[in-house]
Amino acid sequence: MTIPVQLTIPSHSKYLCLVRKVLTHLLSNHEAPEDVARKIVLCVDEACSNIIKHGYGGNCDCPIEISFQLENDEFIIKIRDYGKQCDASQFKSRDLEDVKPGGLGLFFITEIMDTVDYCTNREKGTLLTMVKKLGSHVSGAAR
Amino acid sequence: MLEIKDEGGGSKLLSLSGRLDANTGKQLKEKIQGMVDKDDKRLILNLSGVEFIDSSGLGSLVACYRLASKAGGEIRLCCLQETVRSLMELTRLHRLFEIFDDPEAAQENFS
Repeated sequence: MTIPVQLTIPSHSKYLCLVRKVLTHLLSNHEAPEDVARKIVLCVDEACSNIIKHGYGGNCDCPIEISFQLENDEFIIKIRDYGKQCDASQFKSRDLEDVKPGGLGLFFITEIMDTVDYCTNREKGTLLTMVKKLGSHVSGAAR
Repeated sequence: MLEIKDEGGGSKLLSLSGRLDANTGKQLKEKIQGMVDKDDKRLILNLSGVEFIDSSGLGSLVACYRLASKAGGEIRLCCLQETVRSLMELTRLHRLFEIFDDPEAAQENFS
């Protein structure tokens, strides 16, 4: 899968099921372990939810561009939005000793993915790149 | 999404299925609030049918725990699927909840 699979969705949570289905299908094709696949899907879901809530402030009619690509054993996810830029250096995962509802999305992303990069070096919005090594589980036939 | 079964012995078993996210988590909180209001204070959540949980879903479990605790009640969890269990461990919420392999064990723990 050297050519990325790309899709663009409106910034509404009702479209996230499309992203989950495409991603689940791709990861299944690559024979990613089910538990790893579910966690990757979770991270993409959380990232898109954060964009809808924080980047676009709940505006449902803005684009979220998503691409999935497999390079060697690395599954690369890029998510581009054109919303409010945030200072990634100010992002912090919640203190897990502080038990309270909410605030776990960013924690999941940083804990589960191998590499996470927020690039705001552009006029509008953010490009989030997340990489997860699929290791020896990756299926060459599906590339 | 929610099935409620009276387990006797003063405890109620709720079986959850599907996705536990922001929408279904809200339903769960409302259900727990209603039960706590009716003085049902020993609650067992069977998560065997929960295939996917996100940060909002985990947050709703924490909110339910707090609702019950505030009313002097308790919540036990049982039958977690592997992905749900690993996310509970990742977020250390397995320290907050008492988790059991089956509803009977959770029920016995209440006895």
